Amino acid sequence: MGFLSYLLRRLLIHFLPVLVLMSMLVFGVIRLVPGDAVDLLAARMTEDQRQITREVYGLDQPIPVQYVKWLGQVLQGNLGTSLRSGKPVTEEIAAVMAPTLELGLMGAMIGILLGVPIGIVSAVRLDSALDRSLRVGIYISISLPEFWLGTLLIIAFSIVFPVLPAGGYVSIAADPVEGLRHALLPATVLGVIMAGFLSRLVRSTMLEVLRQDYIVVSRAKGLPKRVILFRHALMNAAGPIVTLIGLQLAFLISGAIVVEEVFVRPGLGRLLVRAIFQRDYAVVQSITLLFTVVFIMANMGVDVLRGLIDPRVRGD
Amino acid sequence: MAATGEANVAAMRRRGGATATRPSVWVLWLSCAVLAAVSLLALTAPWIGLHDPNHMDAAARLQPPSAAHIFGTDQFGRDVFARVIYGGRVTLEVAFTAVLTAVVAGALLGLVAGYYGGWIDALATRIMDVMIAFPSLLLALFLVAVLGPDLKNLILAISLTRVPYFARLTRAEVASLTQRPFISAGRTMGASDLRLVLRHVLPNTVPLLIVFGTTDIATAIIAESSLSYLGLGAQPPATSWGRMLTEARGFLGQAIWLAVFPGLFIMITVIGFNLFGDGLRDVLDPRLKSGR
Repeated sequence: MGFLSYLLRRLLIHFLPVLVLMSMLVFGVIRLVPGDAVDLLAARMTEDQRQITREVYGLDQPIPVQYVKWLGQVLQGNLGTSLRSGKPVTEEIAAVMAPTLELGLMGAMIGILLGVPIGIVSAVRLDSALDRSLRVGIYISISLPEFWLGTLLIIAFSIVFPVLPAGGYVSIAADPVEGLRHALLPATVLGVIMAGFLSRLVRSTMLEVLRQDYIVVSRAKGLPKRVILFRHALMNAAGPIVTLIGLQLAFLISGAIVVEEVFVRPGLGRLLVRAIFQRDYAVVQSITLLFTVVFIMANMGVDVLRGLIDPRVRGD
Repeated sequence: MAATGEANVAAMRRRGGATATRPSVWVLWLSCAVLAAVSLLALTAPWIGLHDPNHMDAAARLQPPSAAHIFGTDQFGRDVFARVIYGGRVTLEVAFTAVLTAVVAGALLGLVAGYYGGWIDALATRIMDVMIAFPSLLLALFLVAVLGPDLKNLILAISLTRVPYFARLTRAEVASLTQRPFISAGRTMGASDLRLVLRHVLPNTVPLLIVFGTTDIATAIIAESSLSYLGLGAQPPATSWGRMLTEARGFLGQAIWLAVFPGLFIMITVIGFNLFGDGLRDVLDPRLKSGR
């Protein structure tokens, strides 16, 4: 019974404040800057026309009033209108949602498939030649900025050996083969860097578990290595590992912003960067907020999973 | 059984501690040498006879590395080596200043929160937790976008995203230090809060701050170059490592040296600071030596 109240407590104390704080920050800061979007957009407009444009978009009202109005609209699913394209922001976001989701999911898959086994092997074979070389690889991969690794992959697989496209996007749903080919390089960038962080954390978690007395006991009573590793060590490391994977989401989000730029791939990240340069308030706010919500939901998901895996977490 | 367990743990620690985490000594010296070389080049750039990084030469466009231009030239005939070094000045200056600001601000916040506790502590911790959990590139991107893309704002944005780490670190250290007998002894002897904090608590947190500050420079370099790559850092004709990679994008097919050299410099400098930070940790604060 403690589980629900635990979740509720997490929601109220941890996640709601983040959301409120971010929405205020996102909304407020952008408006404190001198020169609004109308000034930026409308060099050719007369002062009267500018005033009318401001009134149409509600930019002439006090900031707190604008905030409350905006929040009310957001809660009804209306994210406003892009000042640049004149289209509803929801439409703009919906149009580039799929490419980013595909990228993020594929990146996470590569990251987990690489990172978790590498971390485990490295811990089990502590100090072997394999462990040493894996650790060097990990050290290098976490020192690689996304755009540098991306550039190297483009040089290697699109220019020197032209086997994969250097950029662009094809929907995986529409054309699975081409879609995957286009997603492979960008997703690898995310995956490799995520694997670096993940494997380091998995390795230390596994080392911690392998040091426990019950592992020594099971070794002493002659259990096969396989049983010790999979039944006892991995099961106990699973909780922390799931949390670590969840925490990597923050990385996937910021990684996607850069990676989409490197591979000229449409997506939320590129839309955000473009909107930032154009001071397209509504779009910047909405995407930042969307990332925040996704981020919070993933963290909630991690909490649920952890609670299910490890009953100790639920207790207060 | 317990004894065996402990012996086993101790053995693992020894193995793990001695070789698993600590890069060997020569690696440390190597990272030191690399960092010293890069910093020295960046510091002395105006006086070591480099080409003018902004001098354009239409006759020498996109030339591969040669004796005259050891890293080649870019699409305007500018010397890539000079641009890498001058770009490094910008990248390193931003990273150093951002981290230094973040360390000072974070330490102050952490000192106050950790020493006084209570609601100040609760509020500060809450806010720091939120900031740490949030993707920092997104936050920095947002701040630079709002403040306007120039170097001062870049430094501000990056250092703001780093403050919570140092605040949290200092807070934890201070909270545990204030429980120690020498602090209550000092208080019994009538030392003021200010004196206790400045003379006894703060000095004990310095090694920790130096270690994590050094490693954090690596993170700040990545942040600076990522933001510059997106166009939010140094503005032309000035450059930085991230910006050079952006500018190289259109020429990857014909002139890979435009991307390779700045990229290599980012990578070796980041690895250098990571290794150097790890090494410093072992030297300055043996308690942190762990069998990770």
